[in-house]
Amino acid sequence: MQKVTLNGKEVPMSNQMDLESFLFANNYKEKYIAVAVNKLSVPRSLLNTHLLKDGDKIEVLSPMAGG
Amino acid sequence: MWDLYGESFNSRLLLGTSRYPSPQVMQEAIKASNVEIITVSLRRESAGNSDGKRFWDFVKNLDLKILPNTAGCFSVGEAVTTAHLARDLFETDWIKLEVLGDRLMLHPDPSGTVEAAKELVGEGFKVFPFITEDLVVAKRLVDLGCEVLMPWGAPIGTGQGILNPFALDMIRKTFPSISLICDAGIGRPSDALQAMELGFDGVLLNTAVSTSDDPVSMASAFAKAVEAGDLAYHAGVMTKRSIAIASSPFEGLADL
Repeated sequence: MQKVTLNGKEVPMSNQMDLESFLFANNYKEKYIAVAVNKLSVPRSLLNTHLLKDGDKIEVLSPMAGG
Repeated sequence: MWDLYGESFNSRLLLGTSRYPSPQVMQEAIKASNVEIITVSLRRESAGNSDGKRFWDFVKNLDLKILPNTAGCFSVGEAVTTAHLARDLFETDWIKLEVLGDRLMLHPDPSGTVEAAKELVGEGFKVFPFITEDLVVAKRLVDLGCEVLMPWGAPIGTGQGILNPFALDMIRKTFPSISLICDAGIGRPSDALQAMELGFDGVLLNTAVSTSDDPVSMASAFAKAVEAGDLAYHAGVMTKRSIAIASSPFEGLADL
């Protein structure tokens, strides 16, 4: 079983998952999220074509109050 | 009216969206001050959580110009990636660039800010760089193509006011056609008024309004102060003198 890191926590992953499917499977079902993999932004339009690999570090962000 | 990267606005007060007692109070404060531009951030979203969507739905309904920030970034890479994420999510090429260099004082990293700005300007971002009152950093950023600078009045959240008016005055005089927004450290409406009297084009603040006892009234007070300072600057503030000059003429005084 492969593993990736999702917002700082290690998570098991099936082989050859695209980012969109992975996020959906991990209960990220909202549309308004921004995602970075290995410190690089993955445009929302490419989430379903971006294939994850073992050891990837995924950050899922959303809008938040800020000054 | 004033322009920021080709877009015109009436209000010269910008507000952050953090630390209000409730979203409703924030909305009322924005309304009371006629603010047209607000800042937002990006933070980790927990699985199964809709907080981000709820906040975004609320903000979108306000129908204001969004200025996303890179707050909390301590490296060029973090700030640039955050800017990419913000552009994708908020569908704007505006970015308030914060690259910090000290965790205690939240002091901007001068070289990191310039390096990140260079990359982002090259990618077509409209960069609003958060800086200290350093004239040379300001110069580097203007040379890169930044049309807006955001020098601090004092460190973020301190409410210390304008600690170095001389330096801010120098920045104003050096860059007469650059939009200057005083960002951070503003504690009182009189601080905002002072920044505007120095010739700044706008003021961005958050904590002084959102953590006051009455954010709605305080937002209104800041809006009035910003407007008064802008009017005063353009009306021409008198030069200070070291000796008294009578307002009433001595000629014609009665012999009493």
